Amino acid sequence: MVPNKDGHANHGHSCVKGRFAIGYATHTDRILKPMIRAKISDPWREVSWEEAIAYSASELKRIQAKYGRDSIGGITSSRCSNEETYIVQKLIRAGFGNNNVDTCARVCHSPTGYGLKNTLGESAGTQDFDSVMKADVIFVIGANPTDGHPVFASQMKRRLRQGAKLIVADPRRIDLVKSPHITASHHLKLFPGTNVALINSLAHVVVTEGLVKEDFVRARCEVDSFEKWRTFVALERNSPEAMESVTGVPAAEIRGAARLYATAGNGAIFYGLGVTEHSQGSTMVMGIANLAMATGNVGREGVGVNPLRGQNNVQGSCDMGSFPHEFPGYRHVSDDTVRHLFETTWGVGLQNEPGLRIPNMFEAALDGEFMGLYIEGEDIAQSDPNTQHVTAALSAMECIIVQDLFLNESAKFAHVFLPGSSFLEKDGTFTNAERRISRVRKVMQPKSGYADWEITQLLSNAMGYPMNYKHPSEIMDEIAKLTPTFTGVSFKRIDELGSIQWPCNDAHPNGTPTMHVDEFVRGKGRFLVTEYVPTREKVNAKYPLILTTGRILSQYNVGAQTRRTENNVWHDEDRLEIHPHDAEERGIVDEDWVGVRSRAGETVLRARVTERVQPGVVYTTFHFPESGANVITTDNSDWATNCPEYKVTAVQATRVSQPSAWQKNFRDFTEQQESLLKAAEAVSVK
Amino acid sequence: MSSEGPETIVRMANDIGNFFRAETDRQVALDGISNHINKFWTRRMRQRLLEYVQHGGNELDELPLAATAQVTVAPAPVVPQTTPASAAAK
Repeated sequence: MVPNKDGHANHGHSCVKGRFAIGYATHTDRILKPMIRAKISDPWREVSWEEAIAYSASELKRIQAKYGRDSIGGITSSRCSNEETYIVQKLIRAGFGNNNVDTCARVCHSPTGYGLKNTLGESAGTQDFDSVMKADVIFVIGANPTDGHPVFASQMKRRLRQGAKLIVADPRRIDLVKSPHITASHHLKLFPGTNVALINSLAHVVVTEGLVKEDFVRARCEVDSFEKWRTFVALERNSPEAMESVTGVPAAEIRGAARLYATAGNGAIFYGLGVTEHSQGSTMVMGIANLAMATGNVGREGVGVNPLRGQNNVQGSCDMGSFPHEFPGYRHVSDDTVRHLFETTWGVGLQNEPGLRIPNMFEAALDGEFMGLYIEGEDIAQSDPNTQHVTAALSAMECIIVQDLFLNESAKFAHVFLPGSSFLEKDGTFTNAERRISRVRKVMQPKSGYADWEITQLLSNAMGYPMNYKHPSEIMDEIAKLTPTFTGVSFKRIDELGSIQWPCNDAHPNGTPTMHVDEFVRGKGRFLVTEYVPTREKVNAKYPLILTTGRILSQYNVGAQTRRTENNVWHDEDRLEIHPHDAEERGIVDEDWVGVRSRAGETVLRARVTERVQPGVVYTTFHFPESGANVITTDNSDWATNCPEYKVTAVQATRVSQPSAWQKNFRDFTEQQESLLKAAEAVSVK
Repeated sequence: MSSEGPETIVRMANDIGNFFRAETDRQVALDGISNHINKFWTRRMRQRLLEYVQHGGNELDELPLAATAQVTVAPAPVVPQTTPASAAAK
């Protein structure tokens, strides 16, 4: 499969993660009929759509009658379209009558929304991808574009081959650090968990060496906040020399990188989950925005603050009001004017209180207060941290409804399975990291009979809240009516322009490739003081190594899709990367089975001994559920958003000869659930 | 351990306090902490925090403890009432 050659985001280049999507879209593992069961130890029973929807609604109503209105909620997906996401949050706010809606961005880029909103004024990146072709220095922080975002990485490499300079801040030696015709000027090989110490040191150099773009700051930013920040970062404790023992990065490297970023011309920052998935994720995002503003690197082509997102529609799912505290367009539920607008349009009273975040849902479930969950297109049992905690919470709930392609890890704990559609079966829109809204067009009918938005609508109607959309374009029309940044967006307009970058309204009828051009969305840019606070996840004699997790080129996120394609030929197993020194100390050689134990749990992975990681740091991916990478990760999270601290887990690694206890239980449970699924299929065949 | 129980509530409040600790204007820091809690925590979490403070609040750091004086528990939220189908939006 290859994309449209005129695609504005990718210019006709396809990502290997989706290029072979026909493999999973037509895979025999697809479940195409609705199923229900009373208990997760019962066999699945295939039923009609009518029965599945009626059962789902009756269970949710029963739970609300027994435990209260706030005892149910839902999770939207960054893999689903804007229209699908919008009506899921609408169902929950208007149909369930509470704000217990959250999205998988909770566990990836929620700190981006928080950090950029509070500094620049909008919860989104500032540029389009083409902007990189005018960058003079590219600063990649906590991102691995050649593995995570290969299409954009190719464009970035084109610019680097033209002569743009490169700075990489990453604990690992990612491929971008040195590849044909490209060598990073600086690789800031920091110790995991010390991002904020690093950004403060870079800022210290800018401030104390006279590299601040004073004119820009005076004209465009809040001067008081700038002066407070300048005084803070200039403190000796934030100098590269003082922070060298914390970050592990030689002071001279930090000074050189800061000078290059501040003086090379257009400086563009690209960052990823290595920034956000920390206990100070939001603080680091603010620190990045501070640095960009202080050096005048915002508001024109070639510069900016550019988050590289975790999934295809992370930006869109956040835009569509998937967080429990805000409506579409990032407006708080307590804002009376905004809430009344939605109440009037939706014809229903709405709660003015923030609802439960995903971690809150788990805890409330364990407390017996949250008993029903509707999950569209996400797999929290594999992707969220501290797996045993998550599965305990799922086991405590009385009705879990999963709408997905496959019997994923979460669906094994479900009571209702509603078969969903792949993107090839969808009409709608996705919004990428550029804020670019693009159409996705149906090339085959939904294999289960209903599109995902239709299934949500059926559930809403059964719950007693009527929805009567005839086509996803009508949903987008409603989004445009209610969301100031989307006023000019419609399917017709997208078709005319090819794609649209929001804001798109009367002031910007053709969209906005570059934000904050003449002024910041919030008016004046706001500097925030970013004190480095060490994570509470400490190494000690029992857990002497730091585990950090990431992604690989050929697999996509939890792998539910790409594991069902030929991509497995390239990567069929998650491995533990360990430095030769650490491996030798433990008697570990390549291919050995290694037990990895943290304060949360233990799993077993095969070793890959490599100098790609630094001594004291181990690394793995999480594409295969049996790897149990998130059995090890902990409940620590970002102070502002509760985005999990996936990137820092203290562990011990030892050579072992058998799977962990969790893996044995996982294998037994998986076999049980697959047999219960086969029972349903066998009845269906008869 | 519940995230809405004392241990996690206290940890979350202290983490928020740590961000605002570097703020030189104490009132700005107190406003920042309390606004964050009021804006992002559920009402039940805020109630539990205030109950914890009433019982001494011993494990709370000084700054977030002081900020709890500005944490509010809003009145009961609006009760959603589904309107007749004819009035409901699409």
